[in-house]
Amino acid sequence: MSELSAALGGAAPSYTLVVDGKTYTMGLITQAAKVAFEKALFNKAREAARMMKEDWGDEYGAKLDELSEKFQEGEFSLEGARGQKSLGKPWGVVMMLSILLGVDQQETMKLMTTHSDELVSLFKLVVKESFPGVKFDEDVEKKVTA
Amino acid sequence: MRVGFVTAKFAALVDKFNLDPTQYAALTDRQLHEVYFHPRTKEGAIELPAAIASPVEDVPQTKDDVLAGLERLKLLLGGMLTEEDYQRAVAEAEAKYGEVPG
Repeated sequence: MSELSAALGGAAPSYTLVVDGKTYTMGLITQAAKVAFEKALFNKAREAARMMKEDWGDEYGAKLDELSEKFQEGEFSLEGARGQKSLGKPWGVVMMLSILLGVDQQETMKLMTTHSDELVSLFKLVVKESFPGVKFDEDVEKKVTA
Repeated sequence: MRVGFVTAKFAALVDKFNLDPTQYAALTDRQLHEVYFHPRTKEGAIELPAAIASPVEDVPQTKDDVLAGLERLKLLLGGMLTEEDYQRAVAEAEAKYGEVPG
């Protein structure tokens, strides 16, 4: 990654990965990508809550409101408690990769099973290029490749 | 929802660069930190790395280097550099580097 590449950010051409003749592009973690991740995480929490709807009964609505409050407090953001925790888990990394690749999570997981080395290597580069002074957390890499 | 540092940063960019939300959304944190909030001097000018600010300081020079540089400067500046100023600069270089093998 050159200094110019980092300075241009998302305005520069994206990184690419060719799998079976299909070219995937991996964008940088822009402000929009951060918000996409935050909302995807929030949606996942709401879906998990829906699974508990019958158990919670009348409390279901209040539980959803609680999640909304936490969302508004920034807990689901990349820098928030849930955001940080999720990136330490394989499904969280898949969620972020799916946003950066612009494909659904199912396709991302399929790519992870066949091309994890290439994806993780590119992801590390993207993280470094997207944030100042980042030292990539090796724990994330271990969990992704586990 | 708290209105804090993130909003303040965005407001500063709107204020200084007329950035709209779409442009802001396309930026990375690194761009914000290293480009838009690049360190500035007290006067507000962008701080340049030392190597760019004074490129010749650390490079050993010979008399020929200096004379060639003056020649290029003369060509570049044309009439803006008078013959008198040019000759004075050459004389100063001769005096300064006269003892150094060129």
